[in-house]
Amino acid sequence: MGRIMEKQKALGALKGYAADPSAYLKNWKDKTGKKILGYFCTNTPEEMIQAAGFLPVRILSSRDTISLAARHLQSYSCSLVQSSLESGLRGELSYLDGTVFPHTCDSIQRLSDIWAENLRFPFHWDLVLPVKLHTESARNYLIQELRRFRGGLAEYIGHPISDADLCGTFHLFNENRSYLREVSRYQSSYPGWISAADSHALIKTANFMAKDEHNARMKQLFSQWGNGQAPSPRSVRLFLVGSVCDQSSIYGLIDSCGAALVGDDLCTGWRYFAEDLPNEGDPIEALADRLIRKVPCPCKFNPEIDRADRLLERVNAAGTQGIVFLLLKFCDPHAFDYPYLKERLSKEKIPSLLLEIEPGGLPLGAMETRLRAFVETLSR
Amino acid sequence: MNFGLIPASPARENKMAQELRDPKEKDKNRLRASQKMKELMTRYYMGAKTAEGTDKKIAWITSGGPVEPLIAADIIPVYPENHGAMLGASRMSVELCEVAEGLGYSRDLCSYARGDIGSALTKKSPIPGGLPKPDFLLACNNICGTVMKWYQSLSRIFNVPLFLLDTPFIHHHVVPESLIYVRQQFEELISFLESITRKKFDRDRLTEVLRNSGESALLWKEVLDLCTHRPSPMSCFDAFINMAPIVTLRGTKEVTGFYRDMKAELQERISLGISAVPQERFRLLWDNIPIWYKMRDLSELFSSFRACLVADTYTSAWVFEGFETLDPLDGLSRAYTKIYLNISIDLMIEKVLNLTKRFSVDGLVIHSNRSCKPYSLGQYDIQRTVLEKTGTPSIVLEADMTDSRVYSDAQVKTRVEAFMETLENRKAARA
Repeated sequence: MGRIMEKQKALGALKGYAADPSAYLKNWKDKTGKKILGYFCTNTPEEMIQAAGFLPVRILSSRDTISLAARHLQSYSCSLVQSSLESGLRGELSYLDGTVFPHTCDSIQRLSDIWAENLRFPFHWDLVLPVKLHTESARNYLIQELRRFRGGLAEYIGHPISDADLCGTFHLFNENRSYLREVSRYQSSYPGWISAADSHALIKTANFMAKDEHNARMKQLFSQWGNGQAPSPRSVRLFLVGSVCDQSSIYGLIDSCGAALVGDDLCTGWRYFAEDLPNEGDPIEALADRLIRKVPCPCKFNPEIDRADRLLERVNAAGTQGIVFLLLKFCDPHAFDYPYLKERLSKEKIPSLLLEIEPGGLPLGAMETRLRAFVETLSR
Repeated sequence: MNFGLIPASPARENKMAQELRDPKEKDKNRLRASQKMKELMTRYYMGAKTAEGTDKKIAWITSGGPVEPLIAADIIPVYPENHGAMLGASRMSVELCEVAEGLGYSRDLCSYARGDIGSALTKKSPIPGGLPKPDFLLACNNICGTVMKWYQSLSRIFNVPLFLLDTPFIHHHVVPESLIYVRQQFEELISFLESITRKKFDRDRLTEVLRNSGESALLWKEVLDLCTHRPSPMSCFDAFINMAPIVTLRGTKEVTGFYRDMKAELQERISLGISAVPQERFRLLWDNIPIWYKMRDLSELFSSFRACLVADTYTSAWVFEGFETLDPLDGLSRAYTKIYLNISIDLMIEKVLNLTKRFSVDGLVIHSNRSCKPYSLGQYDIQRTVLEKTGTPSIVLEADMTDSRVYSDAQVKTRVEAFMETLENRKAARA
């Protein structure tokens, strides 16, 4: 009992940060006097941003109302694109000193130009990563593009970023990723032992907190956890598939429906931390090879890897009973993969449910009804 | 076979009122090119259909894709996007989109993709039996990221290989490393084509095909430029229809011949004083892909206000620049990287401002196309900048290129009427 209470206490701090990232970031900035670079997409090499002396912060936003952004974006752009711009235009991202836009999808690519023109942070960078990942020419281009990024950052800070500077950051991120993978292991090995909402808080905070600070918290947490306990036999094992989700209310729904989250294939999840960097060799090549090895995302092209095969492996290993596709409405790359993934899951007799996150507020009531019905079907 | 797939030329339709007033105008007012274009496209699709199941290889390729290496390798290119436009114009799109939607493709996805996937699965199409089955697919992401996803679906449906030509997006200026990357991919594409055809690729032939492409792109530019004349001899609705050959058959001799004739015809119209819109009063610029199922209605609507859409950002995308270099692969890399949809908003604004000035444009008609995010997101900023810099007003029409379920006749009509009133007041104030 005491152990669980301590777990709650350690978690409390991280959950507090998760509830208000901008309070944390403003405070961090005041405390350290350092600069913050925001970025979109897990394909951004955070290590490079850190090596330049900045705090890399993932931009995630989910606002209930969109008004200022509607002057720049059509209603058929996804909630991430609309909400982020809205937050920017409202001055809620004033702690940022710049933004990095890696090439991901058509909408993010256009958002980059609109963002640069209307928000005018001191630093703006388009990291035009290759879409192909399986050829030598794509790898060469990727390496060149990462070098160009290093050059752009160096120019901004006024001094070069050495290989040693860059290598020196790798352990911080590898350590952080190892903690997050440990969260994943707990999810699949001891279903229900960590609530979905709690695990989300741990991962969400990793997306914006300074890594040294987050690592210290995670270390503290795991020393208190030890081994998990047997799962509640009645909890239905769900697996999440999609792009980004920073809404704890959705994770709260999973908990309130009595289901356990046993794994995920999300950008704000497994795809963020599955792959590590080697501590030797050319650091730029290491960053490139990490992106190439990374869990396939629908925005990238690699005919040698079938995303459904990779997904099924993990889904089966976690003893998944049902999949919840959590897609952003108007997100083309994920919507295109959905029919194929669904078909492959059906062949394996794994039921799935599609929930769409619309821009401008979640229909939580309707989502809960559908999720509850889905979980009830699975528990029969 | 009936290939009456392309709608009647709006230029011809628009002439109806004029013809009624002056019957002698009748023959002069028909755009002869449109009829020839129909014949050309019919021959092309018949040729492609006949090749199905023979030794001849068929490739499905994206509209902004590098067709020249295919033509040089005697491979028949087929364009699902052109087919998508035909589905829209023949109003078959919604039914076929619904087939794809039934399989789980979201209604928010590109309607060309949904319609074509529906057609591939049901064989329903204005072309009997649908498009000929591909031996392989060639997608170039210079127009959008959607084509990669769409072609991945096609690759699974037909169980054929997909080659992706990855053209890094241009933010503000071309990065030399990206051109090196694209050039290397052209070498890879050539090896890929050799493995498909089991023949050595003929590089001299490629040079020749590129010369044709360069020539037809230049002719196409000259054709479009004739609309700088006041009154304009054709409207962008005519350009939308007569762009089919430059999209699907560039690189062949037939196309250069077709556009040479079309150019001569437009020059003749200018010398005879024949205009696309009788007593042209307003000159407008169209932005985005056409609304294929409403071409005639829109053409008539604008015409009724004596407004002619004299230029557009869409058809000029096929005015490729850069073919004319000593090294054919360098030329291809440049031409296919610098396409309109592969450039950042500042560069798009530059192009819109340039067209506005050159074609003496009074206003912009902006189609906000739910199907096409890379074309549509950013339009509001383009609209504002053009207004600030030149005072040119604009109108935004919320629609979709082939999914007519999102189109509202009444709303478009009201908005166009209000816009034309603005233009009229502006003209009066200036007079």
